[in-house]
Amino acid sequence: MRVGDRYYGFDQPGGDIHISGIALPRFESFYFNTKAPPAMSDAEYRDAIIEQAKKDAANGKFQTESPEFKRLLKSYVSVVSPDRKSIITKGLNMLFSKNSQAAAEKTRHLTLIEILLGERFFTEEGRLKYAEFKDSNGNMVANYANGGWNSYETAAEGARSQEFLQLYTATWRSVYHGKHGADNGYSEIGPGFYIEV
Amino acid sequence: MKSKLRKPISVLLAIAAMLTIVVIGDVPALAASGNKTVNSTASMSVILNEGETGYSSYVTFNVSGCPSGSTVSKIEVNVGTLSYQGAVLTYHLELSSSNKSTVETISWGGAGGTKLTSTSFFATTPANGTYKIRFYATCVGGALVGGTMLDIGTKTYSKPSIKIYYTY
Repeated sequence: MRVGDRYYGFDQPGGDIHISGIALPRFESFYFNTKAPPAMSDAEYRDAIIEQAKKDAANGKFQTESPEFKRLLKSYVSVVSPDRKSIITKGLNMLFSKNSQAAAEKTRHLTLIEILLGERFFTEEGRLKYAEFKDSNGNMVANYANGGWNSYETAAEGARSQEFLQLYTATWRSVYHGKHGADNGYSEIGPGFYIEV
Repeated sequence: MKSKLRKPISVLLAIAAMLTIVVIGDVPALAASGNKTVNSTASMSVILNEGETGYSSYVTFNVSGCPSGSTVSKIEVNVGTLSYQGAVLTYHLELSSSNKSTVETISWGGAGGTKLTSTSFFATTPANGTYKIRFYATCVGGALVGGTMLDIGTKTYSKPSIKIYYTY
């Protein structure tokens, strides 16, 4: 999987797939997650994170300086990401479908578009100017503004991301700075001699 | 005699074993900390039609020079000096980092010189990196210019700054 590295900050440009002239987000990018099946078990992820941290520390790279770090983090977090691809695709298809008259007139009937778009979309001269995309809990997970895309984190994504970063960083520092106290709870007090702290 | 000595000796041995474990156990090193402030001469600015909602332009901060492996513990953004024409309501600030895939939203009433704080959102991400800020607002009233009421409003925050607190 090729993971885009370009940082835009806000309003990320879309990719090659369009719906009614709107370029969909680059879901393969590091900067836009969508739900994906796990590539390995959590135990295997843990080992992979530790190995990546050791490798990056040996190479003098830290976190996002390493493309492999970005790939692994995206893979780990995407397991709990909302299905932004489906939410956005369905929302745009509904908005631009022939039957979207009711939504365009902002009726008070609860439609799929209103659920998906949270009743917040603005058009100007027939062009979509702004739209919010929400998950089933009503939390905004993405929006379209100024011709680009922004991604907003869920609590599950935040928690999973922190698990990854804390394990990676503790291991990285242990290797890079030669400090003790990596994730396994053992401290080295002499060659080949370990005591459980 | 033997049996009377066994109990206190076994107690002493147990205490000695416990003390041994405590003495040779390693004490975890405390993380060091620091902070870095980056000032900008640029501005976040928005021009909106009355009734329109939208984002401002953004300001970019390039943060470098923090120690290797340093990670964010807190971020403070000073939004800068406010100037405006018309009535433009600010909803929130948005903050992004080149080290994180998602954008943080920080609620804010729009006062100039406000210090907005981000605590956990960017925690454990690298301190060095590129950060961007912008704000989201609605124009509820146009500007009065030369006795004429226009149907546009403007809002600007000049010379914002960012302060990155980090540990390493």
